[in-house]
Amino acid sequence: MKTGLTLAWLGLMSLTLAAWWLGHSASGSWLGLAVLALTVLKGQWVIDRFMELRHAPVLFRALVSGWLAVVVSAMAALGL
Amino acid sequence: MNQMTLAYPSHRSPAARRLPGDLAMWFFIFAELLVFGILIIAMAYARQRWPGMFSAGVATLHPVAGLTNTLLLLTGSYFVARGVASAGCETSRVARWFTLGALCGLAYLIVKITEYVLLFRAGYNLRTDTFYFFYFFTTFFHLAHVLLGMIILLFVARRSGACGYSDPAQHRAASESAGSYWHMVDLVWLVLFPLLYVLP
Repeated sequence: MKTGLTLAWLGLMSLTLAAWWLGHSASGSWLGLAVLALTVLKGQWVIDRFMELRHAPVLFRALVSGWLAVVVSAMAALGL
Repeated sequence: MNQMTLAYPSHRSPAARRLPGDLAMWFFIFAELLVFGILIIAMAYARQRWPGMFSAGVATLHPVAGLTNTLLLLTGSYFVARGVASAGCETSRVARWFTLGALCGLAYLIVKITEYVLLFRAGYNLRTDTFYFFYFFTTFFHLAHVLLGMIILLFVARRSGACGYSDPAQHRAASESAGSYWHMVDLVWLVLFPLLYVLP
């Protein structure tokens, strides 16, 4: 439990630094999608490990993950 | 606050699946997510509509402040999750972990307000253009939620410290509700972060 949380925290911090570094040093049409993919990964990690929704009724996890998917897909569709 | 145990169809046995915290808190969380979702999508639409204005606006923000605040909120979420994990048992450390989480929130507020002051001094405000309207409105709305999250965390921390929860199940439900709200605020920020501080 504790190890999983610590791992999630370190992973989330690393992915944040990776996204920030990418955004400030790389360029190309793939950049937006790469950063958004990292955002989905981070968001789902928060949903599963911090919110503990991976052990919650399926509907609740689907609603929050669905929110993340819809918002990030809309951002991708709008050319982010 | 009552502990809610809801049985929904699932791949695991229904009894093994449990909603963390109060059902009422989850309705509140979904309402908040809906509002933030609309704001973020509207902001992404405006970015597509006026790309030059958005790039110029983003260039005036402070990316290190944005990065620092993301790391602060994630660290706060980690502290809060550790607190929730310890809730309900005799050696509960909810008060300590939640206070640490709220301190991360305080550091976030200081960084955010400093960023606002720097922008105001540089002559930007809510009325400058569409970008700054979205930037100030959305981030201030989010900041208000960080503040509310801190108040909820400190309330539960204080009651935990003063042994205000006689029933371990009630203590756990209150801690989980506070934690879930805090993580929602973190989740929203994670989606705002690339839009304002990562992508050019």
